[in-house]
Amino acid sequence: MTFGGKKLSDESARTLSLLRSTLESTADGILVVDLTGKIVTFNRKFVEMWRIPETIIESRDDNQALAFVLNQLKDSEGFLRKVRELYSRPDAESFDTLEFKDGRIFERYSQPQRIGEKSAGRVWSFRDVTERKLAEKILQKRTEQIIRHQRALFELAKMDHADLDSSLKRIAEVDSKTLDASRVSVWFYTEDRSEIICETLFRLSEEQHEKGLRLRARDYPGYFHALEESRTIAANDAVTDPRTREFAGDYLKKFGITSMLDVPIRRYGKVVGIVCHEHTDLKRDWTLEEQDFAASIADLISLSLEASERKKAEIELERSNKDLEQFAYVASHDLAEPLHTIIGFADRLKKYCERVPDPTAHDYFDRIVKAALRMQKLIEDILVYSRVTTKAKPFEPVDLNTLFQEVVVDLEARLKDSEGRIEAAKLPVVRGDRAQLQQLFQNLISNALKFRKKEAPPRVIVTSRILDDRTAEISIQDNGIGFEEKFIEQIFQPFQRLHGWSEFDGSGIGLAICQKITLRHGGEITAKSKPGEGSTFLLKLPVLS
Amino acid sequence: MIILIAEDNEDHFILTRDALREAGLSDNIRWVADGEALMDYLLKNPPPQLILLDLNMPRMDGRQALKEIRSHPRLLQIPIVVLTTSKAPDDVLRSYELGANSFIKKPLTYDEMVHCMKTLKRYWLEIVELPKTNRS
Repeated sequence: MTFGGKKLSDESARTLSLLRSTLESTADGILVVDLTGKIVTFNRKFVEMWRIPETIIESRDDNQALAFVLNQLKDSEGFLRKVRELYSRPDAESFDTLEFKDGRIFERYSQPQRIGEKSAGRVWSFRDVTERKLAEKILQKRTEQIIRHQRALFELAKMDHADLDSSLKRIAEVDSKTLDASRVSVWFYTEDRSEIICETLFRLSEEQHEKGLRLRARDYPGYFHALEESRTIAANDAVTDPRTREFAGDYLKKFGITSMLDVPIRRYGKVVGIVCHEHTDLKRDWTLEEQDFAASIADLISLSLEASERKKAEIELERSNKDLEQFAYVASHDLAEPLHTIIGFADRLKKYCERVPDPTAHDYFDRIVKAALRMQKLIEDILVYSRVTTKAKPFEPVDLNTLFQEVVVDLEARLKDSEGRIEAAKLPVVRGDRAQLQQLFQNLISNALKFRKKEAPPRVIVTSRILDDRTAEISIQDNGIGFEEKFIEQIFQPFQRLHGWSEFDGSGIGLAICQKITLRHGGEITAKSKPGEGSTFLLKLPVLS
Repeated sequence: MIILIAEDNEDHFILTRDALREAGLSDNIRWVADGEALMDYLLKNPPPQLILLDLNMPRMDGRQALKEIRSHPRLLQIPIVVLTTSKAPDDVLRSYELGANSFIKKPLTYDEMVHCMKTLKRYWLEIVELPKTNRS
């Protein structure tokens, strides 16, 4: 064996052969040059990778080889610069990336070749990383796409969905732009489910919305069946896809649609509509990410429907509350007027009859007046009951200690008459409607004074304890007549009374008002009692933290 | 001395009138049945010593009448007592805001009504001295 015209020893020949086979067994292209840049050796892979013709290889003409190499690169100047730089620094190593005009990408690695301490040349190795780079690029693109989808969904989720029409328009527009779909439309079923009607259609090229198109379910049975069965209908080729080809004849042709991505909109499990993505121009493969995005859009539309219906219900509720308020006012005023007349004239008539010594007549007049007075009280109480909601005021911090003092002052006359006593411990500050809370305590304490035992003066003890950070329990305990606990539900119902009119007066609405006020404050009211052993009313109210 | 009652309900007028008579004001009680009639009376006659005003009346209600009386230079000092079946907190507050001198919920029984009229008479017709300016 000879090498460079020299005869070699067996040892050297073996080394050389090992080197040769190593060189050929690697996946990288390898080129070795001497200090002047002249090619010393290379492997087959190098020739294949660079697609260097045999003729150039045979010629051993370095310049020709270089020219051929340079011609394939996007940035031949940069390539040369690196080569020159490395010749001036024979000991340097280098690593860089080469981009080819045909799209291939090589990684280039270079290392000096040394004999002992001395540089003898340079080894270049090249690795084709085109596929790896492509995979990276695809991955990056997908990541960017997902981020774009997330952003679009976030933007849509943030907006106010109270007005369905405008939120659908916005959704279709953002959807179309995000997926770059030429036409995005939202359709809803008619009441009888025989048709779908287009609520909005956004055309990307004109940035225009339209609506009103109708499709009959029986004309496209395959499509409507598929809607019931699928999460998404991704028809990359809409004309041939069995789920969408019913549209091929008229619809698809008319609008130049090639690919479709349709997602059923479900509410409580039932398909109520569809969001359609229509692609014109060349057919398109809908990625899984895109299908996911489209499905999220359908969910969002479902939420939008929910939100707008809730808003409608709220407006309706507000209106009916106003009606109720108006009704309560009119009723109370208009009912109260004739009652005043009845009471007034019955009273007067009674005076006239005083000249007639007939006790029956007097008794009858008394009954008329009493009944009318009771009715008057009922009317007033209905009004108070309805006002708990209709005249609600915003919540503010209310110190129950001062409020309680005011209630006691209001009840002073009754306390005096009954020789009653009220003891109150320290009470918390709560969040609430001051006037209503005052009413609440007033009712509870005046009940405690009213349902007293004849033989003992009334005694009311008010205590409070904190249950947790947010709730206080206030207990109002009396020594009155009490009641059987089986009536606990009844006593909080409007107009439910446990006693006859002759025993205790009142319309039976006081505790119902208490419950309504407590519930409005996010609290609870209960009671414990035994006949003859007094009652304890327990209030849970949210405290001010 | 004239007391003017603005009240759309004749029954209530009669009860009020009788109560006023029993309180010792038998003469010179005048009755108008709505706010327009009230304004008409005030503009054509010498000012009364006291107006008893109902809030809810047809055509022009008591609130509007209050507003117009209090913005009229010749009428603004006439004492006005609102006498009504309502005791809604809004009505009370609004009446005072509009310039009522007093707000009374119509007493239910006739005895209370008489008592109420006696009190009104004593305060507005016997104790209070009104400024002489703008008064005829």
